[in-house]
Amino acid sequence: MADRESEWLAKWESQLKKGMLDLIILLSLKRRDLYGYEMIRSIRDAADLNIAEGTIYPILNRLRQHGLVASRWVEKESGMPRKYYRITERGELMLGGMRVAWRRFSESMEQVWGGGQ
Amino acid sequence: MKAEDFLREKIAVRIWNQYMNRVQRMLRHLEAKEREDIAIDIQLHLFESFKRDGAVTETEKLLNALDRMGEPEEYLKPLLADSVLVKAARTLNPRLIVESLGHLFYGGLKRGAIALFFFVGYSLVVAFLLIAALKPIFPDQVGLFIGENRGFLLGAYIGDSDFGKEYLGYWVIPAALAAAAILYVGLTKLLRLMKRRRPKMALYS
Repeated sequence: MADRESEWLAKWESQLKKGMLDLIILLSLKRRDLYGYEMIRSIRDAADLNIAEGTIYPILNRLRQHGLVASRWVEKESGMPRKYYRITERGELMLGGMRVAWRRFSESMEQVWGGGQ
Repeated sequence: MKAEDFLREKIAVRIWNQYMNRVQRMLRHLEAKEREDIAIDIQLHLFESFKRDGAVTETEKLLNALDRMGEPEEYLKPLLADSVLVKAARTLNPRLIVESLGHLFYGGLKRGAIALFFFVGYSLVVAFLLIAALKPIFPDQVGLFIGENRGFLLGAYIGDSDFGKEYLGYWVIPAALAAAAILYVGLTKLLRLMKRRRPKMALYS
């Protein structure tokens, strides 16, 4: 694939992943509680997504306002305390709904893909 | 969290404070608790990022951490537009309504202004190349003309108008080519610098 096409595809893929950040964050928190810096590392590893690190904070704020995540402080013996985020019961419920919606979307895309061939 | 708690270099302290002022400015329309929560999140994140950076000086470490974090005006934009709009809708305050619409509009306007700047710049490059190309064909109508009233024309004119004396002669060709080259390289480097400073786009920009 030529350079221009590769670049276009990479950008499209990046936008697609960015649109999924709410889901990626909730899935990351489902595995374990995470603090902000750790979360960005987790997102990069899991989704291979390179984003401005500050991007997650408006999303976390929104998820917290909707009751999907909660936070707690963990004091450390040395250094600054850490604010850990966890997924709530409501968040787990929403995640279930997002999983169903994702499957439905994947299936319909497969149909569109298949119909185009 | 104060910069002086963990930074010793004065420049680093100043950079941290300036960045936090920008963050606070973007959060100003939020409720106090929400504002404090997000500001602390950002500070703690930056502290972790700073601590783990491999640079030698505090200032370099901090700049790297801030670069990875992104521009607060970009990644906090969704919060600003939403919060001002919510407040405007709740209070029906016309000033807030105009401000929230302004925030939504400004993002596009800023990008438009930057695009216009580069469009004009690259158009000038083409104009200089045309001057160089047209001089041999229309030697009397292309060049640098300075009129009696000290007005001047750098370019070409059509027809019999008299724009005054032409001062560069055929030297306008290398001058125009040099100007085109310098402008082209300068604009392209500036464009690359702008793209490099913002390699990672905030989600909603």
